[in-house]
Amino acid sequence: MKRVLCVTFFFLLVIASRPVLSISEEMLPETEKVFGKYSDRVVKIQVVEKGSGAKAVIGSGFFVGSEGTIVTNYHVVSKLILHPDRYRAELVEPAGTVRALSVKNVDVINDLALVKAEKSGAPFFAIAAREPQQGTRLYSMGFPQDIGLSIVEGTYNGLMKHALYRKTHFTAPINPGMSGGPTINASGEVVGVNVSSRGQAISFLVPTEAVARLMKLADTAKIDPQNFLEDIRSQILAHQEVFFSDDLIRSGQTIRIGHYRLPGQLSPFFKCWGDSSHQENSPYQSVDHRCSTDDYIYISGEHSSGIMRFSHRSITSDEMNPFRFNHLYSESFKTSGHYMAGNEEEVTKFECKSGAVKRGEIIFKTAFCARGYRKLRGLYDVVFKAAVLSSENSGLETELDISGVSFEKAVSLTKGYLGMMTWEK
Amino acid sequence: MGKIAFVELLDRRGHIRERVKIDSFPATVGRAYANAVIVDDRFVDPEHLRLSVDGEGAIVVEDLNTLNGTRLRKSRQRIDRHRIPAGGEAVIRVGQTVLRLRGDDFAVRPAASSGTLFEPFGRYMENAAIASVVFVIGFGINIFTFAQAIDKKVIWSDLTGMSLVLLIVFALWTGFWSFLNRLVAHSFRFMTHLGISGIASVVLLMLFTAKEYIEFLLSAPLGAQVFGFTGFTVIFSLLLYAHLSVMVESSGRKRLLASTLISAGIVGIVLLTHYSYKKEFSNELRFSSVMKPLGRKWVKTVSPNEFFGDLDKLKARIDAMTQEGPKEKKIKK
Repeated sequence: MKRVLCVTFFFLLVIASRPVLSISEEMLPETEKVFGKYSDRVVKIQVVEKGSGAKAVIGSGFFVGSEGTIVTNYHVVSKLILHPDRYRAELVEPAGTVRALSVKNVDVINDLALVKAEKSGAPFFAIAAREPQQGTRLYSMGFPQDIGLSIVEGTYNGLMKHALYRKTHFTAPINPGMSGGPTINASGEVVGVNVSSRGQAISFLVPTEAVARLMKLADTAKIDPQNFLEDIRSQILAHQEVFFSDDLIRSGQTIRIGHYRLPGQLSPFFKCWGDSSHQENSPYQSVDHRCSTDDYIYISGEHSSGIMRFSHRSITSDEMNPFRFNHLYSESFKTSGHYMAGNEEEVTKFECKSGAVKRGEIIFKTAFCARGYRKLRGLYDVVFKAAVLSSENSGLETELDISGVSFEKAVSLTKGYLGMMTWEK
Repeated sequence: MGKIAFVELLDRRGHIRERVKIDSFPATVGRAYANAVIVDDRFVDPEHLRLSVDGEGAIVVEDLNTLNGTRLRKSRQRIDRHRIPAGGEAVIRVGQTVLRLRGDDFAVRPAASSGTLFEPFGRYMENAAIASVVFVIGFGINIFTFAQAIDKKVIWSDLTGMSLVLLIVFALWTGFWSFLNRLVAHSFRFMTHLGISGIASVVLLMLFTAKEYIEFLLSAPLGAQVFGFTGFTVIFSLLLYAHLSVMVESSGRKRLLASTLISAGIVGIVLLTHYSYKKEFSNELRFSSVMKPLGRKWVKTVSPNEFFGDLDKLKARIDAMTQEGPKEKKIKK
């Protein structure tokens, strides 16, 4: 009997212990497994100011080749590209080893950079051959706020619809410092590169097709590292030919405000908003309509390109005399409704030309202002403002801003924009 | 024929109150009725001065050992004897009275033209009532013009607040000139200066309106600016000239020169500040354009092709700036 009890006890013990062993292996959280398996392929990248030896920028990157090739964001290393004499880039390994980095190639449109460290034999990521299904669980890694390597879980939500630049919508909180880090699937394949976020766990990834293209380009057409600026300039100019084509104006929708027909949503990648103001203590009423491309090309911390914005404002008043109304109208015209960032190292100050342009029966007071890029010569920011001259107590003004385009393209777009405005009964 | 001298009693503004001809020497000046020139001033001795002529025809003024003494106008030093050479003059103070002594050989200035701008104007402005009416009208025009710039529903406190600020500005400006006036001519003449300020403010408003119309009709902000600065220099010079005319008796040419120089200096400083500010890099964009309710049909217009086809100069200016290269600050190592 004692023997039977012993066997039974042993049997029960085995039965009881089996499920426990099975849980600890299969139920191990996926995130933990992914982190444990792939974290050694993610690195911290820091751009250091040479004079002080202090960090100016930190970001993340990941190995994509055994020869020390690393993918990161262009915006992580942009200071080094724009001011190579003032900054250097470094790779910081988990053990704290610091290695020098050099830039191999950049894709400014997709905010990617390929950098290289003198390190061979490091484990590296494979690039996923195709996009995952919407809802797929993904894992993003990086160094948020320089507090150490982190992993966040999120879901893949497909490519952004109507985006000017192709980006993947990823629902997870990607924080500053994780830029350039990989977002991978459970198999450890890279499905995107962390690039930006918009709060509340809305984040964006650079799709892998851009990564693959950049890697291929780096293998075939090597760029003179001293001449990245020329390459960036060419990329922006080539890009504008596609997105800021004359068709944009020709086939763009129009809207009607009062008696005027005006440019509306020019293409699906424009977002438009409207509002009106009827305040009690105001002697005039206004209607505002504004449209903007939803995305931009990052050039430097203070300067972006590839943005097109426009706004219309109609002002009417029954209470003001014509002199007072026109004073209000002039003051409204004087200031720009849109802010254009940029610093003196990168752009010139604005130069303007004013005039009065007659189109049919309408006379527009116009101002065409432009500034040039100092480093990326041949690119300009342009602001065009026009207001309809009116003898009655009503007016309409419009403003168009285009950044990072050739002068000729800007003039052509602005001219087409003005041509879209008509008066209707 | 003997020497003839004139003793002129001046008021605090420097104007002649009484002129006495002396054709017999020696003659005395004092409070007593026995004097050739009677000075009704309790600080003057009954017999205060003696006037005589020396061998060279100069008038000699002697203090008769008086209690309060005799002084040259701009000096605190008592004098016992003062000699006025032939053709000269002396302004002396006895008690609280200012006397000017000249001989008949004193050379007077040629006649001033009666057609000068400020002569009739100045005469009217001497009248405090006219000056105050002029100021009130000017002040009203200013307030009306400023009220046109209010872009919300106008309430009384807007107008009273604006009036208060404007009154302070006028008070400071006029107070400054009155103070100067008191220093050099023993009187404030506040209302005269106030009237001048009122007129000048209206003229400046007219200039500003004209500048805006140039910009509106010709779409030439630079031209309008040149017009504005030139006009301001001229009007400000005239304003200073008017204030100085009330205050001092120097020649018109000297006053005009001083006014123009001061005005040009002020405008020069403003221009330098303006252009150094404009040269500074800024992301802020201020469009130059003025809209007016009148004169729309006289606006100089161009076709879209002309406007957009003529941007080469603009591009060249920008390209020249980019050629200068980035404005990076060199860090010393």
